[in-house]
Amino acid sequence: MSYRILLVDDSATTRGMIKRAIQLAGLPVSEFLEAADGKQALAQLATHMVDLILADLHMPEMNGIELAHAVLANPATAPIRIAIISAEPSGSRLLELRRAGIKGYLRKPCTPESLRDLVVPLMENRHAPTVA
Amino acid sequence: MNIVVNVSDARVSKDTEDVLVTYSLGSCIAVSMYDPIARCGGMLHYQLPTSTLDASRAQANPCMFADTGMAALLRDLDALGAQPRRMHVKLAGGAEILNDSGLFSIGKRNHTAIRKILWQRGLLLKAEEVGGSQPRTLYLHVADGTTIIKSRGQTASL
Amino acid sequence: MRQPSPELLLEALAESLQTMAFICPEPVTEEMPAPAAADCVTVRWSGDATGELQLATPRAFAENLAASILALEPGSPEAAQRAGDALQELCNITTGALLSRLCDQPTDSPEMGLPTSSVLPDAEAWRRFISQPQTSVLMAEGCLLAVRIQESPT
Repeated sequence: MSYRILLVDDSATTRGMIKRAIQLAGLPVSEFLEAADGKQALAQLATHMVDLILADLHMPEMNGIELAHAVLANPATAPIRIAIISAEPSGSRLLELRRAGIKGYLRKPCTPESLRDLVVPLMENRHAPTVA
Repeated sequence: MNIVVNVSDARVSKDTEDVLVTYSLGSCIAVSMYDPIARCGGMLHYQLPTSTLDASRAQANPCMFADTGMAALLRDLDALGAQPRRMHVKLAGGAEILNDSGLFSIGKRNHTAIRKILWQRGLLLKAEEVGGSQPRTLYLHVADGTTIIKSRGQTASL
Repeated sequence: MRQPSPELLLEALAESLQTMAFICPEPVTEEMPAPAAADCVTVRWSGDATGELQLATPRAFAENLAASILALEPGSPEAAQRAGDALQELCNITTGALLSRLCDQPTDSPEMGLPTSSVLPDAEAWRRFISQPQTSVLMAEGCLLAVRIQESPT
């Protein structure tokens, strides 16, 4: 079994770092798709199904929470697991993430190891909520 | 038998009776690497983050520095048949000691340096216990890769 | 929200650099010439408090930053291509790290903006930048790196 992962972040550098960390974690990933904001992510999802979305919160067009709402409201994409990786400083917004059905959260700056520890359980156990 | 890894030293072993041990880790860092398939392991105990601080000392004693020390450790492990991508990498040390604390401490610089080297070489850490102000002793059992930390009378697996 | 201090700002910058880019900033211990040009990135926030955080540094550091985050050879074309983006992301993450230190109530929820880039075109512009209040200058990878915050009334 191999996975397809969609990386959504307006920083191409961060997308590259996340991709490398997941590759080094040894997960069987068949394809990484990339998008610079929520709108681009939805356009990708219109033609590609993925197993996991790792999204930033603050992006120029459609932020991570709006993306999560759109993905989870569509029966075709609702089974996709979504985790947020963001510099968001507010604790109260984490509650909003949990309510939005997001399965994991990691605060930037993050180490490659913390990315592995976020992603591996999400892929290995589809129903394990890891929002702190 | 216990094989002592001194300060600025690296040792490897494939003998399942051996335990690699390094004492007195303060701001220094010990890197433990273990290949569970080849059943061999090694340990480096370095003092400083980069050989660019003193090229002549690095030549005389590469294990004093994170970069040249890791190159030496990996070379010795390679000779025993270890493969980097299979290895379990663990760190201990990097404490802030006496009047060397805060943002610019040598312990922090030592820790950041080894993380950068591992990232460049494509290795993720399996575990670490770094920082704080306590001295540490690290053991690596070559039989199964078990690592144990002793610090201020407490013993814990890493 | 707590008031920002130079110590909290440097802590946030050091945490960001060490964690995401494997770089340890150091104090400036010797006189360094002002860079002939520098990139400058700004992230603003609003809500419970309003302010901005700015980073300024020569392009050489931004390229090293990108190379370090992506495990590329320093001086590689991809590192040069990613330099501006990497510096924007460092500023974004440092701002988040600072604001998370300033949020001391569960209801504190400052709204961060997106990073914007500008250029300090000459040494004089650099000197003006670092002479502003609440500005600190560090060394990172052999380059000068300046960071400043400015708070404004809400």
